[in-house]
Amino acid sequence: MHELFLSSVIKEDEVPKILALIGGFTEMRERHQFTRVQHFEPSPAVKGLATIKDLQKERNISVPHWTELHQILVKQPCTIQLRTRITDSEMDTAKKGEAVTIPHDRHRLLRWTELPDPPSQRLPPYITQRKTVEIIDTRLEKILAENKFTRVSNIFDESYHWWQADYTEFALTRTWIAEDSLPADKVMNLAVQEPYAPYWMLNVRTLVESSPERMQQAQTQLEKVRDQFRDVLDFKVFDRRAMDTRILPVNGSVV
Amino acid sequence: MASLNLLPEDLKHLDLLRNRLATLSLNLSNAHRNMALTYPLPSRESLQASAAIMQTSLRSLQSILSENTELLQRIAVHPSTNYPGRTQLDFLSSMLRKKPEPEIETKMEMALEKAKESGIDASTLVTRRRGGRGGGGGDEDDEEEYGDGDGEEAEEGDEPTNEQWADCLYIFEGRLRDYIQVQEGRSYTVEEQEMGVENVRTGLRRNLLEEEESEDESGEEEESGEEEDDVVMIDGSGGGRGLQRQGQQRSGNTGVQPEHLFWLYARGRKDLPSRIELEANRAPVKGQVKRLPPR
Repeated sequence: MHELFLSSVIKEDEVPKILALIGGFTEMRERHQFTRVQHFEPSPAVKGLATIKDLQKERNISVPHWTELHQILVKQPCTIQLRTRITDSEMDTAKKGEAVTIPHDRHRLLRWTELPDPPSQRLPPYITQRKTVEIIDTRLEKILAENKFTRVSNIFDESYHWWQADYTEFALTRTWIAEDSLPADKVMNLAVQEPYAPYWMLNVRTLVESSPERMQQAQTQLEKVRDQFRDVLDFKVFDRRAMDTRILPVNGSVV
Repeated sequence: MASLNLLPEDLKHLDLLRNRLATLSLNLSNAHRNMALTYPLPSRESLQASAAIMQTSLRSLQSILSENTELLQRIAVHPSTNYPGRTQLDFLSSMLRKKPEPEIETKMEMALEKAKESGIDASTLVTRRRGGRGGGGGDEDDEEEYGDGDGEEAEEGDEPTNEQWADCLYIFEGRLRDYIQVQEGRSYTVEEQEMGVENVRTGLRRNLLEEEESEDESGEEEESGEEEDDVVMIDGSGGGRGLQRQGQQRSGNTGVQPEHLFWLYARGRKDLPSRIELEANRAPVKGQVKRLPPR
C-alpha cells in the first residue's frame, strides 16, 4: 500500500475554527480519539523476522504483509511503529491520576513506512508519498519481543478525525512523550504534562494500492483538497529525510 | 491470444469487471481495517460512509454482470497451452475452481435464506439475471412501476423491492414533514442560542437575510429569538494564508519544529539529525524564490 498526505501546522487557538471548518467540509462531526504510539527497533544481531516461518504458517490475511515486512527488514533494518487505541474513558480515568492498564487483547496496528519518494514532475513537493505496510493483530508486542525488537519510545497522541466519502482522512493531532518511568502497559496522564509541541499537526491522508493509477488518483484527490483550502490552510513542504525510518550506520555508530 | 475468439469489447468488459472486483476488494479491506482499528467501533458516519461506498461498488458490479450476462455465460476459463501446469498446479486449481469454499457456500445459503425471509424470492433474482435485463438490473423498472402506481400499491410479487421502496418513502415523507413543520423555523441549536447567536460562525460570506429583504421589499418581521445571520468571512482575506501567516510563531518557546515531530513518529526519537533542513529556515525572504528541500 502507499500512503499519501499533505501536512499543515495548526496553532492551539486555531483549533476550534479548524474543527468547524473541516466538520463542515466533510459533513461529519469529528471523531475524537487517543492513541498510544510506541517504536521498536530490531536487534542488530537478527536480520528480518526470526519467527517468519511460524507467522507464515498461520494462514491468515496478515501473512503476505509479514512476508513483505521480513523481506524489507532483511535488506534494511528500520524502526517500526506500534499503535494502540486508548478509549476516552480510559484516558479520563488516567487524567484523574489513577493507573489504567491497556488490555493485552486489544488490537494493535503495526506500521512500517518507507522513506518518502522524492518530488518529481509527477509528484509535487507538498505531497508526501511513501510505501507502507500495516498489520493488525492483538499479539504484536509479543511477536516483536519474540523477534528481539527493543522498544525505544512511548508516545501518546490526541487526535480528531474526519473522512470524506472517498476515504480521504483528515487527522488533527498533538503529541505527548511519556516519562521513562511509565510502565509499558499503562496509560499516561496527559493532564500533568505539556504536549511535546505547542501546536497541532493536520494531515490530509489517503491510503491506496501501490499501483500507478491509484497513486495518481490519490494525488489528484489531495491536489483538489489543497485547492479547496487554498486561502485557509498552508500545506508546507517538509524535508522527507525527517520521515526516514531506516537505521543507518553513521561514523561507526547506528543512528 | 488468437484462439480466444473474443471481441476487443468483450475483453474490455472483462477487464472492467476485474477492476470493479478489485475496487470492491479494496473497499472491504478498508472497512475491515477501520473496524478492527477503532475501539469499540468506528463512528456512525464512518460506518455509513463505508456501507455507502460498498453499496456503490456492489451496484456497479451488479450492473456490469447484468449487462454482460450472455458473455459471461458463454465464456469458459481454461489454461493456455504454455501455462506451467506442473509447477503451479495449486494456483491453477484455485483459479479454475467453480464451487465456492464450504464456509463461503454456507454464508451464501444463509444470505439466500435471509432474502427469502424478507420476501425476496431467490428464483426471481435468478430469472431476472437470465432474462438479461441491462442497465443496472431491475432498479429502473422498480422506479417506473412505482411511478405508475399513483398511490395504488404495485403488484406484489412482480418486483420484490417495491415494499422496501414504499417503506423508504413513508419514512422520508414523515421526516420531511417534520423538517418543514418543526425544524425549518429553528435556525440555531439550543447550544448556539445559549452562547448567543451573534457569536455563531456560519461561514457565510454575505447576509442572506438582508438580501432577501431588500429583494422582496417587504416589511418582514423577524421572528423573536432569531437574529440575522452574521456575516462572517472565513479567514484568509487578501489571498494570504490567513491561518498560517505568522508561521514563525509556531514553534513557541520550546523550539520544537514540525520536523522534530516527523522524526519522533518515524524513529521514536527527539534527536533530529542536523542534516535535516527545517521548513522554518527555508521561509523565503521578501523578493526571493522559496527553495525546496534537498531531494
